Amino acid sequence: MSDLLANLAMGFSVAFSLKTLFWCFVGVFMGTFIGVLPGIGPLATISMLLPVTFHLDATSAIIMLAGIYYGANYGGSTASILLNLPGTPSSAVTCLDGYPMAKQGRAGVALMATTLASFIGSSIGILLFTGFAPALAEIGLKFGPAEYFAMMLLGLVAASTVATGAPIKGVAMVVVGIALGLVGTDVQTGQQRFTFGLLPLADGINLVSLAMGLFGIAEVINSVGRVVQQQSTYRSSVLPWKRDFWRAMDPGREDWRRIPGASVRGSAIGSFFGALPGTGPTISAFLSYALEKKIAREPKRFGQGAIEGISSPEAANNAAAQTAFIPTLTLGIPGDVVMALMLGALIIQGIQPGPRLVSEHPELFWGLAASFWIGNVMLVILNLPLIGIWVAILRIPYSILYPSILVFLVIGVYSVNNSVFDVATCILFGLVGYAMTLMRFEPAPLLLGFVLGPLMEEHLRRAMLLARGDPMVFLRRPISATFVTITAALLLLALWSSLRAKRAEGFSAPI
Amino acid sequence: MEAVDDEGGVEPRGGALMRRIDFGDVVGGLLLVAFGLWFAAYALEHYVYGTARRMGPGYFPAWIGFLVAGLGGVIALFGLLRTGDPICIRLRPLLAVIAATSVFALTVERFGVVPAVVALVFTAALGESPYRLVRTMLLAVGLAVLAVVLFGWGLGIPFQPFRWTP
Repeated sequence: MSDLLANLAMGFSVAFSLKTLFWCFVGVFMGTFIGVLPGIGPLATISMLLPVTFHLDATSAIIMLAGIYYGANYGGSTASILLNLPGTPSSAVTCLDGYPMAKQGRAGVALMATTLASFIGSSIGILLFTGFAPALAEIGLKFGPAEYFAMMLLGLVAASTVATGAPIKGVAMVVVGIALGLVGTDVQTGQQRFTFGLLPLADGINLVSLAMGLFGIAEVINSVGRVVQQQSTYRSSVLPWKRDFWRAMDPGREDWRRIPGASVRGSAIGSFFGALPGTGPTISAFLSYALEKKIAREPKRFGQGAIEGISSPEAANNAAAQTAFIPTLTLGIPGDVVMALMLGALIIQGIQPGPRLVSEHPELFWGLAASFWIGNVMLVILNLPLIGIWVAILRIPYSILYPSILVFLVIGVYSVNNSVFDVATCILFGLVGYAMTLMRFEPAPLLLGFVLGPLMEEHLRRAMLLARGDPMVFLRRPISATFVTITAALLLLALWSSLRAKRAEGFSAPI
Repeated sequence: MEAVDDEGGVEPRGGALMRRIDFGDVVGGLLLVAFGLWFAAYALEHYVYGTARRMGPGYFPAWIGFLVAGLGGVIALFGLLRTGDPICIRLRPLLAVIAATSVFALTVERFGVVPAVVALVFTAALGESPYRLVRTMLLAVGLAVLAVVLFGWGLGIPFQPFRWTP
């Protein structure tokens, strides 16, 4: 216990340094900003800011990227409530009751409730993060290469099958990602693979180029000419609380009583599903909404502005955003693609996420934990008293936004190595990403495979060497056998659901 | 983002066929088969395969390639068995965005970041009609200044705002 306090104190001393505070603020500010804006999500933003992190130290970099991720959840609910358009997929469910509240003139109350619930959710998620992550790291230290390989396999399969419309396509994209990840110099033999004599490919395909092409350029192509309509819906929700600011935000006694319970239930769901691979903020939000509706005394109120219907999902997605860091940092297994980018950012900084991270880079781990608290307090301030700024941002037309996004995107890619080759790669993957959207293949699993692929090959080779070439080693060791069994079950389930699907399901979430 | 209807989308010929099968899955699946087989063949031809115990640099890529091909085959097969939405390519935004980013790539080394940004913004604005000249001009100048201030001064990235090496 005293260890934990000492560690936290150290973390806060890191997080309260002026530089870290600044980057934490940049992160949560950007997060809220893009969370509010429909049509651009945390994934595209994190890819865009990835090059910036190369000029920072590892701790500031991860603190900023994390701020974008959890900040987007706060901002996402604002667009859901005021526009009936989710700024992020995880806030989609908040539209159901948030927008009716806004129409009843209770937009202020809704924003208050979601901000409060978000804070409660994050706080619980952070507590679990600080409590469980070091313990999980201890367990992870006992894992050998076989366990690691099996765990990565499970993580990849879960992330690409559980939450997607077409699981088998998700798995295929993961494997394509692994293939792309193999480009470059083989660590064990020094052999150059798939570089075709191109010097810039010796270090592999640039993660920034790949991510920005798949998520940035492809997303812009997809959105140009389509996002225009959204501005016109805005005017119907003119903000009523210019004068009596705080009074307009007061939910009234009955609703005050409902917020804490719903938030705690949402946090529990979010914390659990956030830490699992494949499930994350979005699923947690939907599940917690379903739960609230089920246990409510008058389920009819839902859809007409029930305050539990916005508090619980917002608590859930924020809790999930925090606990998602547990497996990423302590085992090196990202649960979703945003976490894969964080992992990539750390690897580029020369830090290998895994069980040794907590002991080898305590300032990074505990600094991040402390920055979660600071960032969430900043977010409450950003989202309540300063709500007017975000509402104004909703008015930026896309015709101004998309050229700006493109400029920051290409300059970002270019600035990593001052290399036109990287920009060209990025454009190429933009085309690939757009083609994938057309054929309804999701790019997210591809990136996940790209980040984990080289690590998987390394663990596989090591495990097979230790087992003298006997593949049964993965079934003989109990932990790895468990992982392999769950993976096989998930794959069978995926095959089954693909067979059953008579029609392809379109998957159109903002990324 | 809410996907609004595909106004102005170009539907290629063969719409009827595209509706009877899941065209995207069939084409995508076949592309994966081609990519996977090529990947595996290239690995087997150029890199040492090794044994299961001592895997060479070609071992893992070969299997990954075959896996991609296999999965692609399954996807294409399933796609043949069900209906799907036709694919609509919206050419205008596609061309505008690709052209804009390519223009940047082609000009940044020769003329510097500021002209490259301006060229990008003017090209990108072609993606939407009507073409708003004044707004685009202001945006181009604003973004060029912002790029130099944020990336050049703020982050200290050594790139040149202007240069002349055509």
